[in-house]
Amino acid sequence: MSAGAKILMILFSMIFTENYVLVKFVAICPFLGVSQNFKSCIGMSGAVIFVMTLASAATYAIYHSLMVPFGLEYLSTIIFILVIAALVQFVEIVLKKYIKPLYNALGIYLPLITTNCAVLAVTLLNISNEYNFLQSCVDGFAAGVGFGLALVLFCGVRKTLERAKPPKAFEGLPITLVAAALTSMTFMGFTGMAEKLFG
Amino acid sequence: MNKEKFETTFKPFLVLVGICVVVTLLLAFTNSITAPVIAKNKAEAEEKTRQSVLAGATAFSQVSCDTESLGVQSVYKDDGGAGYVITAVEKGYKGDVTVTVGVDGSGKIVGLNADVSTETTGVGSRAGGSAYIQKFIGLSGSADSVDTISGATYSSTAVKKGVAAALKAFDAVKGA
Amino acid sequence: MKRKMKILTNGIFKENPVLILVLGCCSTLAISVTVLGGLGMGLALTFVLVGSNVAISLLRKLIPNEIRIPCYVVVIAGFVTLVEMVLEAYMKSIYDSLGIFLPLIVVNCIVLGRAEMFANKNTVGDSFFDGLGMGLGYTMVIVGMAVVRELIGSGTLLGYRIIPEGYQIGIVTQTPGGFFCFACAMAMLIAGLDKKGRKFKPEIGCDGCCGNCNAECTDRKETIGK
Repeated sequence: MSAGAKILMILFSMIFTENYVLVKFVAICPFLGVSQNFKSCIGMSGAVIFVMTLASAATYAIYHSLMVPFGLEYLSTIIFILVIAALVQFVEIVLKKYIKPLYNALGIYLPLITTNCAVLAVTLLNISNEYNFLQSCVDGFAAGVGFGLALVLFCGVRKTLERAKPPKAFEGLPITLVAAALTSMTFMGFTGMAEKLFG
Repeated sequence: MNKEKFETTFKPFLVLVGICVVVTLLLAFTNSITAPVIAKNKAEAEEKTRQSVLAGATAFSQVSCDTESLGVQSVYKDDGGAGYVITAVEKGYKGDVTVTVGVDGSGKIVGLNADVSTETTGVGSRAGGSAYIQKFIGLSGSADSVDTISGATYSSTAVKKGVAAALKAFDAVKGA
Repeated sequence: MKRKMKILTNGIFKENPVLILVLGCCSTLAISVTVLGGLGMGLALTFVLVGSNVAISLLRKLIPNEIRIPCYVVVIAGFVTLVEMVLEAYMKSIYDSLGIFLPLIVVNCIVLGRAEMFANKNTVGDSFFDGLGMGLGYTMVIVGMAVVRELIGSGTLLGYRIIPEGYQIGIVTQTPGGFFCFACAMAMLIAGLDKKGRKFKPEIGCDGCCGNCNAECTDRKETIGK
């Protein structure tokens, strides 16, 4: 398929059909932990999109320029997580110093992203899917958008949940998980759409 | 430099670098042991699959062709003339379905293996089951005559697409 | 010895990482589809946990406080890569069933959390048993969920067909089923503890884990997600 169609397909599938939280099952911790109020959802999503895109670009560059020529592919896990940690640290410092408003909005979420499973997952999957540079960046961006979408949707679900009266044993975390189950079921409806639309 | 400067500035950096070096050395050592094993296992598994779809084959040699434009992963030719083994990967329901097709010299399918480990057990996995695979044996030219499995559309479509790609690739390389 | 046994059982029951501390949910939900996968993941995690706990405990006097997190990450990532290589070479089927979640052990909250909360403050022996206990507790939960999900969802157990084909509830093996099973497991635990008179309100462990991860985070914890 054409390069443009492939990009669109990556965009669509990362946001919907292969959504990182609701389909792939990564980043559950921040998903459940941060989706309580809308403002933090937006903040966290923004930070995730930012870091994922940068991380995809950075890890791609390092993988292909440094690791492959020296045969160091087996060190990908280590090197990628260090790159992500360093990137997050660096971004935090830069934002704090130069873009104060953005830092105030996103800053507190940045340290939480280092242990966000999805960021490491997207960088590793870029490599195993053998995407080129542009595709990797789009993939990172779209994965972040998908994460944000899931977060925002679930925030709405949780607001409704607050008014519900579940059985005593289900109060709190369990009913939230059941709501997550139903939310992820809705995303199952997107299966195969990417291929049909752009394939 | 005084001791305090050493403690606060250099020591953290040295410790981190030291740990990185030790870890990297350990991993490089382990990699030197495991990498050959991994490569050997992979080659053996692929060879075994190839043998299973083309009975009577003696030894395989890879045919170099433009796999990207043909939409297949690899094409192997039996040195003994029994035919070709073509591997294609198609997107299934949850992950990739690897289809290995054994084709004899005339383009007739003599063997088929579909790796449906990523598909839902009992549902999509039926696309890799012997009942479905049998429908493809003996076909040549195209796989359109085989229906998809209702209830396992994506998985069976992936198998069909893989077979179609393999047959197309055969047409391109036959006689090579 | 008694103290060591206490540490061990703490990780399995009283402070079970998945059900009580609510850490490491990502992998629990994703891998508990088959019993074999669950066992494999549990073993891999236990190995990494024990290894990193021991290593970090050994190095605890040497690692300066400011850079402890990057150091922990390098050590943990080292162990994970080791496990990745060994599994790919000698136990390929387990390697395949774990997929992307094997390297994700690096960011598994349990491993980093225990390093931060236990290994850097305790002796090597204690850290070893803590790692073992936590790992066993995690394995128990993931295998328990896997037994339910594999049986109801695929009708098999360890690959052996138990329920005739066609009678399984496929969705249990998919994402929604995972969330739902975890919800039920939690609810059962809450109800069970409630009967014993112990009020239990689980919160996602990540606030605590990440709060430890970054010193700056703790004073900002108030503003996150509340």
